Amino acid sequence: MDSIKLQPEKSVCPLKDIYNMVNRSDTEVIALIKSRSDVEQGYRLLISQYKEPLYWHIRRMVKNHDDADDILQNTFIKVFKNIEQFKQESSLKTWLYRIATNESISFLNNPKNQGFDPLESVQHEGAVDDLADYDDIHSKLNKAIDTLPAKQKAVFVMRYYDEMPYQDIAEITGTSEGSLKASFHLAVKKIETYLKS
Amino acid sequence: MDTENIDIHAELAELSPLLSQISKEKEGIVPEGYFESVEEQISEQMAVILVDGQEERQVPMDYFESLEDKILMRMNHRQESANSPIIVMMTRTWVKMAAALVLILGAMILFNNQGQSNEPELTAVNDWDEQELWDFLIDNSDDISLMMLIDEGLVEPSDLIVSAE
Repeated sequence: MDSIKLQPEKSVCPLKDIYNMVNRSDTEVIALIKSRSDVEQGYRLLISQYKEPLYWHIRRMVKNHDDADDILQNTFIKVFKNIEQFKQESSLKTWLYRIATNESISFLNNPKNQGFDPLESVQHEGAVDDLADYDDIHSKLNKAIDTLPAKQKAVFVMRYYDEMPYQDIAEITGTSEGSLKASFHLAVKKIETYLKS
Repeated sequence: MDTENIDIHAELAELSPLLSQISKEKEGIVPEGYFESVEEQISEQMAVILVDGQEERQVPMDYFESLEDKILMRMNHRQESANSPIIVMMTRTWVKMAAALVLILGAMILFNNQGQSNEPELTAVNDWDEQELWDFLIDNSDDISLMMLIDEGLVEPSDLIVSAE
């Protein structure tokens, strides 16, 4: 098996810009996919544009790279299989995030995947040196986020890391903006308490 | 920075000054070249799905040209069958038929007769032979009730096959 080199420099968490980095318009991508002749080009564009934002969105929820990789691929497979059902009532971006979020929540709610320490797993792969950047506060923040229930974690990640407007999160989760605000505020309070403990 | 982002930062600063001060720069690491390789993997899966989708939509060559003849031939065959004496394959158990009959009669009593007593009819049914039961079932069953019987495990699809003599 090829040895895995971890590369922190090029793949540093892209922050909020990732959510806004899409270059081609949704309409253009969808038009290509729906045109029978350029469907493959449309899909390639979609993969190219959304692989990183979706990966980081998923990774922030499940923490572990291998799990994020699996969920990302499943997300795209679902997208390819269900693209006919996308009626453009929401934006392509929120539709994709909805699928990725649901996949991540399903993963987190699966009892098989609970009680797993992703940092420990990475260390077992011999990447101890690359974790030197994980200082105490970030490590503690990750642990605090892990204490949140799956859906609240999704809301926190989208608001805190992706800096998404509540309106977009509402479209993605199918929850009202008021409920989302309450959920985020409570999550922040819980995390702050954990960090101070 | 747009208004929405200012709102987000202000909201966080108000809710938790501690959390708002934590840098979000360092969060995770990925294997070298991951995003290039995952794009290839996903593209390969996409190509397979596209090919499968095309195959599912494909129909045999000249299918539509021959379809009309096939339908007419089948209709003629059915007409011939209707003119022939029909016997039902009597390979199934008496219990299944009786249960199916009770279901259909029950439905008829419930929805059609609205409170009128059907006791004489039910009593008479006890005296029917197997052929009479089958005739009754076939005469009084629509597609929905037949499907219901199959779903309930009371009959098998093969039970409902009739053959022309």
